[in-house]
Amino acid sequence: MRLGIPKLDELLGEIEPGSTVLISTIGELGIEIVLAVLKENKEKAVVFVTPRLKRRLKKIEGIDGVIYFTLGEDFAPQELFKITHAMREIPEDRFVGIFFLQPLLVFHPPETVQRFFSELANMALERGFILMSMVDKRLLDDKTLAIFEESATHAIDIVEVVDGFKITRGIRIKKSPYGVTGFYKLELNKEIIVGEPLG
Amino acid sequence: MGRISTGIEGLDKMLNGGLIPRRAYLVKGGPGAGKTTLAMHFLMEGIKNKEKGLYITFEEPVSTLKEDMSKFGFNLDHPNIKIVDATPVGEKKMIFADVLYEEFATSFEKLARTISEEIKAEKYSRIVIDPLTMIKLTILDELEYRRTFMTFLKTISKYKATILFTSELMDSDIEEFLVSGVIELRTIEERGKTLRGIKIIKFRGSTFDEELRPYRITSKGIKVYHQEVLLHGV
Repeated sequence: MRLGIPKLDELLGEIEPGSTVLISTIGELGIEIVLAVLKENKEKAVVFVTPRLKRRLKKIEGIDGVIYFTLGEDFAPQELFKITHAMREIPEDRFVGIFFLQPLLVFHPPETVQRFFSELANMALERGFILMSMVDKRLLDDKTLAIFEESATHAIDIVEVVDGFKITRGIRIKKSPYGVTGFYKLELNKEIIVGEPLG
Repeated sequence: MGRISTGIEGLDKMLNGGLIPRRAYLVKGGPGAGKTTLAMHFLMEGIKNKEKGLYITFEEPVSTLKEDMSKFGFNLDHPNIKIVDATPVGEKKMIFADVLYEEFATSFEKLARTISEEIKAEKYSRIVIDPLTMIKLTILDELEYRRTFMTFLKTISKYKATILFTSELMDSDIEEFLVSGVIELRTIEERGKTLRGIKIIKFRGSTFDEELRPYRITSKGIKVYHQEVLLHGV
């Protein structure tokens, strides 16, 4: 699978079935990557979302074939087992997005969410689908983030440096079967642009 | 070694195929955990296989039991099921021939003897005693209780019946020691939501799944998610 973002695809290479891609970011920075992936894979995409994100995604053109599972509607945040059970029912060769780790991290201890994520990554490997997830790294300490990244096959790191009124955003491949990269400039407007190397 | 189904697919998987027949098992858990429902699954599974089942209730009156269980689709009026109401009531009544409920509920020995006679006569292959708690509470002498319980199990083991006891007492040590298997139903409050977990504590003569697995009580009874982890307080 390719993300549909030329430079990022070049850096990441082909993502094989069974892979888990973790985007560690700040807030929702980089959600455009997720949208690009959904557009590329809309016919076989299954996403686990918050009600707010679902409303937002529903308004976006070009991703109408996506299947939604919504936190608080299809399952309660306490019932993580229902999510893993639902994942087992998903046909193989799908793209599965998990986009509610943030509320889970507010609800559960990080260790619980990490184990949940690890279960999902194992399931992706067993079932041959591609799992993508975003996590706000401000909610995790370094050790917990490292354990999250350990469960993933690919880790994309998004950073934001504020210097006075100047904001610089960067993206790097922190983990992938093809190796790691330095930071590249990240521009987030209507489309996502991965530019020149930083530093 | 042959296995018999508990009537709950996920639980059978946790038990590596089901219960070993002709032995005694204990299902323990707090109020509302689903002990009676689990026991009914076990009994009704036998009925599906044209077996005969005996159910002795010490707590829930038969009429309430029938009403509650019908919501899960369990028909307790099936001719192959005998239900014995041993619940305390305000008037004297016979529950087996010549046995008054007062004697029954307070004498384990009498219960054991009566059940043995029933099995001999009717060839029940599945028996449920729900709950054992009531009997235990009526026998104050622990040693006496142990002796009677052991004798009961020994007597019952002569017949081709599998027995399921239920118990509300979480520290039911002697029963746990003497029976062949213990299944525990746990309920956990998590921010206003009740989570349920099932765990096999002991299963003599077999390997088993040692993980606490989630379960739900649905309109069709108990559903065990044998592949999932409860992920509570990990």
